[in-house]
Amino acid sequence: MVRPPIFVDQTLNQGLKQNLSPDQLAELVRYMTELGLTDADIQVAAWQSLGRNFMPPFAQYRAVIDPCVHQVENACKSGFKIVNIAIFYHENVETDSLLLALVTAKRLGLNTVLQIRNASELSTQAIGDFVASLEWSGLDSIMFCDEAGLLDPMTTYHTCMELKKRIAVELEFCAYNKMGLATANTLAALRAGIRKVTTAVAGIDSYAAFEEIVLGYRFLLNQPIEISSNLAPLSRTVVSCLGREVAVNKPIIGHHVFAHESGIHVDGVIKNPELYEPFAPELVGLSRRLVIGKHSGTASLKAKFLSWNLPLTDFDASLLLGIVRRKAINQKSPLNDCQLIDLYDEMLGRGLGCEAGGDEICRAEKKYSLSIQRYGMVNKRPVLFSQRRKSWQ
Amino acid sequence: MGPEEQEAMKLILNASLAATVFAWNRARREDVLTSIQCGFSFLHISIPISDLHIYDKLKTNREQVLKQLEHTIGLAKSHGCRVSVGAEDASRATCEQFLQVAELAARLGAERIRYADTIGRLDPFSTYEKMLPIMAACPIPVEFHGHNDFGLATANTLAACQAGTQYASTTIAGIGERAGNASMEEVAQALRVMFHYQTTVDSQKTNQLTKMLEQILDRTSENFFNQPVMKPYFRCPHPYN
Repeated sequence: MVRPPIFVDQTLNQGLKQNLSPDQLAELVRYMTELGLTDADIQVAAWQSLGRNFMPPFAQYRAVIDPCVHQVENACKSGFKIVNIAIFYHENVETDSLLLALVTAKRLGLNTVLQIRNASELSTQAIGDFVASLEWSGLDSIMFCDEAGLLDPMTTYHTCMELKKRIAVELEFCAYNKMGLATANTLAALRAGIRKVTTAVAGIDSYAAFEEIVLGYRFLLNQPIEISSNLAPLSRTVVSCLGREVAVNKPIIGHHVFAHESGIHVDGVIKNPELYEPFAPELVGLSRRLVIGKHSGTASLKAKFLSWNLPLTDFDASLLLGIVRRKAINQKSPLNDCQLIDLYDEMLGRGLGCEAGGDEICRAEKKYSLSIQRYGMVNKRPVLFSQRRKSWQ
Repeated sequence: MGPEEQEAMKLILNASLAATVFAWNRARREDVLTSIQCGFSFLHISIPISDLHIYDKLKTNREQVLKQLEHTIGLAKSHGCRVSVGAEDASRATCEQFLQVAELAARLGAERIRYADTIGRLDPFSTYEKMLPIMAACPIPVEFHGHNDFGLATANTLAACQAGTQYASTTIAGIGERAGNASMEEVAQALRVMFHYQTTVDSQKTNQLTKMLEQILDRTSENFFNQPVMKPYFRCPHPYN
């Protein structure tokens, strides 16, 4: 595990499947390159439909094809240097056309990858024997896929270790997230010494999430790897290029993963972020957020208002906390900053004046509330509101 | 616990669920008393057990924390409550530190202890390695509580089950603080399919439950890429926007 892993990306392929325009795809490629993702599996037919004027494929792009000589030649014509031949293995598998395709690819000077889509359903013995029978064709690597999502991390590790002994060519690993284990299985494969793994940005299309593998490799396997300081924003941009939105709780890149709400967590994070954060948010281009909701305590409110240069007294904080909790429970979600400021203003009676326009009482209230704030007497102010606002109840 | 939360707690208790419902408490007198006041007869009492949390967050020492635990368990027991103990940030504490708490808890009559990977820093291999010696020596059943900060909560929970933990801490659709916790559907499905466990979790009903939750949380369930075990990571922009 000395050399960093190589990520074979599936995001671009997803863009092709979604029929993005050439311009959109070029943009996508730019972001992917910025993320350091230069290896990708590509559907040849979709790539060709972009027309001859579209950029030539990168040298590390791999054309995913069936075991068919015509498709090999076609991929070569489109400028691909690597073909990724995908098969389902069974006992009576037709090896003639596969061998012919492999030999043709070699003759055309292409590198060859054999993708065994149902590899996790097979014994290592069967895979070893099958690969041994193909080796004379000059096959470069085997891509072990777990399309059915049958593997758990322990099995993945042992299977990879055993296969590495059995086969002479390079072994790659591709996990699917059918059971929510794609990240765990991919990290297990990396632990077993596999170098090329299949990922997609944000785990799109049920592949392992690129960001989780990068951070997991760095912090859980304790191996050196470069982490883009813009990882989270770039990943989100890529996902939005595909017309989707990253869920707020998506590990590493979601909007909420560095948000702290419960009183205990916020209190802890203020004292020392390491208490409740596995790594600094800045590492992936995010920042810490204090969320105010029904689990908040006065410490959160005070910290939040202090960050706006508005120190709260204990009394104000506990008064506001009651209002905030009721509001959060009613709307079944935390409050955003605007709502929080509105509630604060309401508490001080500022909002009412503006709403009532020329109303004499309200203007008096507004003036009064501003003046007492100036003299630091907020706590002693009697309730002067002419009407109770809905949000207070 | 604020008045609104107490209200919610009472509603949950009064729903007469088939499930055993217990209340989460810090090892503080006032927390325990509030829970008892709400009507709970099963309390979960949590203390941090890593040096980092004890010294940096609570700004106290281990003896003090253990003494507090002893007092609160005693208080709960004196009210006739069943008790489960939580070991917060256990993944950054040593095996001995965890077992020390477990033995104290067992001696005081607690019936279960929770091993919490509070910041999700474990992977399945380290989980398994850490849980094995614990399972061999722990006097009471252990519950594993994983966090999803590296996307490994489900995998870690499975690894803990493989090491022999008796309880898995999960949430519907994996909702929870930050990146969330292990999702019940995924853990149940994996235990059923991969390890041939018998679970009482009805996958059809969990799907309904997930959908209900998504509506409440305003996360639409479209665009999950046909995953049988749904994970609401992506959402489509609204079709009419």
